[in-house]
Amino acid sequence: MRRLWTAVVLKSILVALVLIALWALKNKDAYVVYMQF
Amino acid sequence: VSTSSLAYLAFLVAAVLLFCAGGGPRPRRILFGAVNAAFAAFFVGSWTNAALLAAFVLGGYAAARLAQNRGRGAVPLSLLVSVPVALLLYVKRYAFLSLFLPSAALSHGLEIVGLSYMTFKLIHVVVDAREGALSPLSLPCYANYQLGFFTLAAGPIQRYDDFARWWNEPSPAADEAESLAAWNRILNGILKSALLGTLALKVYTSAFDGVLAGASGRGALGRFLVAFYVYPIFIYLNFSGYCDVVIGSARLFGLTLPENFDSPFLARNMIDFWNRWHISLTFWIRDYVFMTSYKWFAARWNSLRRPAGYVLQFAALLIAGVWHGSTWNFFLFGAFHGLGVAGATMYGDALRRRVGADGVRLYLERPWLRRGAMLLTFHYVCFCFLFFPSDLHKTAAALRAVAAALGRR
Repeated sequence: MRRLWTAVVLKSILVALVLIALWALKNKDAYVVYMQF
Repeated sequence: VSTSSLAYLAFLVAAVLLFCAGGGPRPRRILFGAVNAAFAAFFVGSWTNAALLAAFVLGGYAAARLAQNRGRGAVPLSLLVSVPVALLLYVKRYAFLSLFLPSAALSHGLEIVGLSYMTFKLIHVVVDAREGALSPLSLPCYANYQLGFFTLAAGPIQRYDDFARWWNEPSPAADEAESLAAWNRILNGILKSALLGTLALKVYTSAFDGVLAGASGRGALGRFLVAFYVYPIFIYLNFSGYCDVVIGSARLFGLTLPENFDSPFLARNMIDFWNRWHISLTFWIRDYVFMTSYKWFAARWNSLRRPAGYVLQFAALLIAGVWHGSTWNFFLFGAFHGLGVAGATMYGDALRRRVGADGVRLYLERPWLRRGAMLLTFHYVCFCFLFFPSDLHKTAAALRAVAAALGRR
């Protein structure tokens, strides 16, 4: 359980950084391709 | 709202907290309905689209009710199915409609995100209702089944009975371990689609544009091969990442969604590939396109059922290809997949006739054959995806550019 908590916390930080970076770069690539079908 | 965004995560956290605080099944159902309505409101864009979405949901429910009547005066199933399909084709402005309709009729501003996935679900509900194989229908359950915010945008295509079981007793993830596992999957999905998928797209775009821009000799071939191998990987990361996010999101609400991917690039033939790639679509096409047409054909011309099976497999995959879009590239995408699947079935049948079922099993167990088949299938899949990302002219231009660059050497 502790390993899972650690993984979730670390991945949350990484995800936040990635999403903020994409937002700051005004990157539209994070769309879902299959949404257009 | 992309599922790989801070806005989606904020929405999800708020929705889960409300749902957990909801108390019994009835308040939770009301909360879930409100959350779905709020999420759909992000997408609709205009009152006209909202009215169309409401009409589609209510019309689908009415069609399912009509389908349950199998006695005298029953509405033909073909009519109940063809109306939503016609609406889908019209809203999506399929190119061939310009042959029958004036251009003014097709320049409408109608747009509903996830309409084709909702149409798949509607057809499943209507057909199963006609066959008497559906859980009891209720409008709130059906509306939330169609508008469930996890699956609204791009599936997976859940079956009504699975949703109805949860709807009757909605309760959030059972414990801390389950919640953490769900969050872990959501975060994995975002990293796959937003980080790795975005990087893969950058690599593909740079390589493909390099080919089109007239890179010479070995450079053109190298760039083309990078684009050739990376594009299917991008689509996998993008779509399976999305699926991880929505499947994890649903688990927070205690709802189990069907899996959509199972290591597709490890498939040993094209039949195996479609059992590992967009699985919920494959099963839908198997049940409602292939099996329906195969049973119809076999009941009339039983002696021809085997060759008909190959043709219908090809047709089913062709339809799956054309579903992606009405341009020629998607027609070829579906046709090549259809050839791959029908060809694999024919090969399997021929092998069984020659060496028997046990012989085939021993043959398939050879490790070198398994690895070779996987490698061959992966390359065939990459070839098919050449026709997926852009219009056919761009693909043809890239192939011409590679041929010309090699010719100049």
